Amino acid sequence: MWRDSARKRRVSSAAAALGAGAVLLAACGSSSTSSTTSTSSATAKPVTITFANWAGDESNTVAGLNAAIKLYESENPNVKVVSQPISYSNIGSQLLLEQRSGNPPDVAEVQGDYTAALAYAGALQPLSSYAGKTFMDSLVSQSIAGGTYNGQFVATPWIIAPFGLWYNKNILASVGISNPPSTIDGLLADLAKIRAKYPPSTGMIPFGFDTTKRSYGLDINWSFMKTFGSTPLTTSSKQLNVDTPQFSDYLSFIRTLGTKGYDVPNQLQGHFRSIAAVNKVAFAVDGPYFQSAVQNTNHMSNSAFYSTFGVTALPAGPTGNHYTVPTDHQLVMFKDSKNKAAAWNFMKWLTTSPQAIKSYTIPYEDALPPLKVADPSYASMVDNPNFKAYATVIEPTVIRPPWGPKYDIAFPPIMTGVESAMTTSTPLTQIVSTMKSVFATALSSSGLS
Amino acid sequence: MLIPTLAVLGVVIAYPAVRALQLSFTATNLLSLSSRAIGASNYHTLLRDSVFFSALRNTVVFTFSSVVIAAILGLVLALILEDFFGNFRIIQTILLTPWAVPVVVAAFLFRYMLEESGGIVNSILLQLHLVGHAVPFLVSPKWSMPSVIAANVWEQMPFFLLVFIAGLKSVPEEIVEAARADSAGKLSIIRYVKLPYLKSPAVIAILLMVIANFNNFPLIESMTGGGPGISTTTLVIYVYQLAFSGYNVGYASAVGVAWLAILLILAVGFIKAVRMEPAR
Repeated sequence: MWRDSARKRRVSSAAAALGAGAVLLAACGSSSTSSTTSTSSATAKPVTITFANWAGDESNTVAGLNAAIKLYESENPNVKVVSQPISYSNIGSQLLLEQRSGNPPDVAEVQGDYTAALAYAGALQPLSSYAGKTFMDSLVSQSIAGGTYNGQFVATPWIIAPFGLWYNKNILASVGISNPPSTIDGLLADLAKIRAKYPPSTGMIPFGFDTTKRSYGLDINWSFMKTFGSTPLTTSSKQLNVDTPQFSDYLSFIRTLGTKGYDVPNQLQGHFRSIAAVNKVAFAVDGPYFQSAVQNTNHMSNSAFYSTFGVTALPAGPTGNHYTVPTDHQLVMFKDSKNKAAAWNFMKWLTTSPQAIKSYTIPYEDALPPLKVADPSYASMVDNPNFKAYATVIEPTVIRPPWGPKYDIAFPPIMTGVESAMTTSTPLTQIVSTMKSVFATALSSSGLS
Repeated sequence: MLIPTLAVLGVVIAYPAVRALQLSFTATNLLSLSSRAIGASNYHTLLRDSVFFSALRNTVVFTFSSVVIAAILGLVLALILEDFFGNFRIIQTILLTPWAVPVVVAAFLFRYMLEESGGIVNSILLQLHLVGHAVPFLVSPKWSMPSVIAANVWEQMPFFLLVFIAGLKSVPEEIVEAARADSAGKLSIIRYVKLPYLKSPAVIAILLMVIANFNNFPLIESMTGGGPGISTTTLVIYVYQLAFSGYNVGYASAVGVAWLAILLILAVGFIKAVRMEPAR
């Protein structure tokens, strides 16, 4: 049904990211990134800025974020940062409602489709005049592209976090697998071996893969759709492009995951992290924060984690290409902010200061900062196999889905169809037909063309 | 005296209802500042929206199954507990505790109990050899709706229990004694003496719970999110997804107005049924 093919490294404009990753890991100390600047010269009187984020809502990051905020406040005594924790699933709509109500935060943590929606709504303050050339030159170029909409730089990158294929080395070894799969066929063969040795009664989940009806669910699945050669949607689509053999091949793969019991449908990615922490998930598609989530559950040391878990690129399908979608966390400033200078200083500090990177980005998000050159003070912190995998193997395979208003209309019918493929025996042609008609209905009622 | 009350009602009830009706005749998207009038176009779309009709069907199944099962269970338990006295009355208190549990907590409780891997329900079923493999309660379209109904019945049965306990206290003791004196059996007394007295409170309780369950959002959203697919997507879940995931406020309002119309028809029907009952 799908052909096995040699692994190919995707050549893309992400070569800059590859180079950046190599430099990062070489712990080049020839120049340092921009350092913290105090805001006391920028604003003499006391300032309070509000920072909406989901990091404060999640148990594995809240302590780190609060400590980072305290550190910033100690360096900038006239600035108070009020954290507004909002769950990841709700932050997109919540920020939009706050902006429409006239009381948005000054700064917000956003990602992917949320950034696109806020940019489309005209809610975001363009940042180029604040950023300046030095700041922009310090960033990995691909991360700049990810924060640019309609030619305006509106979202500064904070944390580089593409999806990777995490695997439990001990579970793989127990079924005689020495290396993680690099192709879809290889993945399915490995899942079959794992399921044969660990039937459902053992509680083992061979493949932790989010298929929920969220934009994040489509983000995860987008990589796999692309590697099967399918592009269901573009920003100018007037209908879903899902009645293709390539999309049917992808749905067949999804159906296999369901019928063979390799995955649990309709579960958030976070559900699999806690189960992975007790060695009951063989493979999981997740970002680099998988590490902190697992360690927050089982309190594993870093060395024990690296000896148990590895990460590699998502497997290649019939196209022979590996793809991944970034879940890069970004920082945005709202147009209606009354404290723009103070807000920008805080954003810049979180993104580039060695103190923020050492105290939060690396230890709590287990992610790479978006900088071309690493500061020597934290270079050793990224010298481990998983960071190397992210920088050299995974980051070069990044592609971006067509985030925006049509993506928001498309993900419910697409992910409903994905779940139907996984949990029912409805003919795939019928599922595809329903996807198209529901999207058409939703688009016609949306007021968007 | 009435003006403050009417003012509050106007702000809290009338304004949102009128605004929703107004929005339903527009194409209004939260991502765009503009809102344009489109007549009844949203309602035309609704008539050909397969997800709307699936959600309506799910709402009817969820609501009426939950209400009927919870009412019957509540009635049976009330009749059993009626004869309890002394220390056995503690059982009544225990049976009422689910009502004190927040809905979201109950939803997560059932979610963890019903998990395919590691859930206690499957563990028990497998250990007793009642099933050959774990039942996918929450991840199978076949089982997901019965699972959320079961959680809802656990949550809401205490309300009916309370209503029927109070209703049974209103049955005149002398009529029951007279029936016993006429050698009426326990079941006959229940059927011909007690149930007629419970009819009015039952109708009111059922109407209230039908309306409450039509609007039941937290339980389903927390347990299944409306999935897998749209197997547990009810009207309220669909409206939420339209408005806050798709940002399509105009069409979401049209679905909301249709849902309000259905509820009003149900409420009028019930009230007429109550009014037609002869006074005792």
